[in-house]
Amino acid sequence: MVSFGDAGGITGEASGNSPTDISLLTLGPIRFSKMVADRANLGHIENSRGVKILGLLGVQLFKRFELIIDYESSRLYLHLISRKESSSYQSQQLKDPETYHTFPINIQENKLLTNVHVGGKKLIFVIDTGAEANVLDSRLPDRIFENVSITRRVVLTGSGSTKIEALYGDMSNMKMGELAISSLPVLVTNLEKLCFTYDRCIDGMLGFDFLSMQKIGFNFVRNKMYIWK
Amino acid sequence: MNRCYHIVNRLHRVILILCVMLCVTASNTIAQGPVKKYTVKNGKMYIELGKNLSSQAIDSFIVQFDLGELYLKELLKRNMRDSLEKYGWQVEVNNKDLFILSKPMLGFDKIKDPGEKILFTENRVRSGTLFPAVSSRVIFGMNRFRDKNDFRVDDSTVVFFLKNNLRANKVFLSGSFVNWSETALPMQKTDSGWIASVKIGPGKYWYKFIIDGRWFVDNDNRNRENDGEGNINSVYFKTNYLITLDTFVRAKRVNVAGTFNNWTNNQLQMEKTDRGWRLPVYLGDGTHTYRFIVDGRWMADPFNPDRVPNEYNEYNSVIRVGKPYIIKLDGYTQAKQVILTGSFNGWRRDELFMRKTADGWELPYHIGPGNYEYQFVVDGKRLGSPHGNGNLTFTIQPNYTFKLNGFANAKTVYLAGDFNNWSPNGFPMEKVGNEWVLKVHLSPGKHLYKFVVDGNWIIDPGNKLWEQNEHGTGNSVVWLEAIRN
Repeated sequence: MVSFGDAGGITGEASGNSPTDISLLTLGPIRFSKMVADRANLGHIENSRGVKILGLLGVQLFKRFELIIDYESSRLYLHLISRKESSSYQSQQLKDPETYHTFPINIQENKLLTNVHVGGKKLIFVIDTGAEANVLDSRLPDRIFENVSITRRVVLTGSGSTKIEALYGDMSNMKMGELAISSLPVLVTNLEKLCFTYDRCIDGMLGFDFLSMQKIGFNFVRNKMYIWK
Repeated sequence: MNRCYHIVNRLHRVILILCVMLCVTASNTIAQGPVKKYTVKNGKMYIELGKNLSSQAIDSFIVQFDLGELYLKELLKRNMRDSLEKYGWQVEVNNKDLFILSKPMLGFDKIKDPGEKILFTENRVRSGTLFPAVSSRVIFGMNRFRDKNDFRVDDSTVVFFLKNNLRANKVFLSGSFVNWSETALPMQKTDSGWIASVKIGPGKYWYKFIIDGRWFVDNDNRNRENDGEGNINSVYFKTNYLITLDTFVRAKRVNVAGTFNNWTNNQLQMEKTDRGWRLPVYLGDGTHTYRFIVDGRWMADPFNPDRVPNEYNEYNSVIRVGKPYIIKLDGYTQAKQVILTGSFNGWRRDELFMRKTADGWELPYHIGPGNYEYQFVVDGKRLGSPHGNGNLTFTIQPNYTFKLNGFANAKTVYLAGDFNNWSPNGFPMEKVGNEWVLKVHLSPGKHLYKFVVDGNWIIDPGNKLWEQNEHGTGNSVVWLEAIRN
């Protein structure tokens, strides 16, 4: 499973899981040697999803790659960008700029960030395929929540017994660059725990539900994200 | 100086009048129409409820936001706040027109942990997560198409439809029903897309389209599942039951809830028709009980005569699927009443009344594959097994044999796992030669289990696959490959 955003199984984040050394990790023809990974019990995800999951690949692994995810045909395209082609390489799939949108991204503390606008106000969202739902921070100003219509309340449980209330809603008037998103389903919760080590917090997450609607791609060297039209 | 004081004093009065005017305006605004709102402001959740709301409107709000525990009707009628306060809500406003309640929104402490985050952000709207694939056989399913109607069905033939793609040269349908053959089912071109007819029985199927050599999920089908090997497939349920309610045409919302969705009230919304409401569903073999929720009001199916009593001194309606098994108790011909109770009906003792025969008691009961514990209640007295926890057991459609080698001197060995609700002494293993064996039914997917040897819980020494549990003692893991119909 590929999980952008938080540590995603690769160390560098204080996720409380003990690290372990991996001498060699291969992904098709790509070889990563002397990796450090967090050990975590992923059994509860297996139990919830019915899918065998032995590990999560984090964003750190892909820092030198162009990555295109085509959900429909279940294909992952990876290209290791050499130093020589840092500014020039682009997949043939990106030949026609009319077929996709381009957005700037940046990576901070292993989180993949992009800007969105809601009701004209700029927000910082994490791009995270490891989150299924899109998430919105409940502490955002009222002006943002004027665009959110709450539809359901749920009590959520993690792997332990901790229970927490959260809300589902639909957010309107959202824009990502030139891409207008008329209605985005969001899970509303307090994201205080996702604040950075310095004085800044993230406002929300764009999750798998949104990112899997169409083909997406990332160039982690040139800090770009592509969403196909 | 005096003049200055006079001006300030007048200014105060103007401000006071302005304030009064604003308050009157605000109160007029509030008075317009019944208010019921769920909002988020300043990091808190707010519920606004008008005091002139109809009982049905309150019920419908309670159902939508799953607020049964707050007893909001008691608050509106009698100003009772015990339940509100117990669950951390505060009354912010209580005037003649409305209540405004608030509660701070907390976050999920472990959201930084990648595994926990995946669980926390699961989309609970999908039917896939409502009825998880693991450790539960498929007992319920419904189709969720986006921009096209459900596939046309004539008896056992389903016409799979791929919209558009008219420029494609060759399109094939592949799926679990042809063992994922890439060429068995070529699709025919029509003026609006591609079709292929497939004969299948009721159940759950996985499929994909192969358009000019490339595999695609069905974009118009919101039911998708990962197959455990990284591929996402579309999921189709050939339905076998149409739940209908041919009345309440003026209702705004009708939901159905039952044993097949753990009685969750706001998951299964019915579709409106000219005559009332409908929901085509797949129901697995067994006895399913259900009720409707019409604009927040729970009721049994008024048109279904098959019903059983429930704990509210009312009735739950019954749907029976598959073939019935006759459950018998020999003897006890002098008894006045015998009730069957077991894990298959949540150990209810008010539901399954057995019928007297010449030499005992019996009850035909529809029950699906699984491992069950049960007892009889004869004139109020429990009657079970003299061993273990006192329950009798049976397995319908056993398909897996657990074996434990060694422990030849053990007196009792029980099998406990998610497939029998971790019953510690309900499922005794049988000693055959030097090993202990037990045949059970396992649904496709992952299962956790342990052996209980003379009262001690152990993981399976013959199985390398195990995972940690909350007690730090581990559980053995067995995966049963999916049986693809």
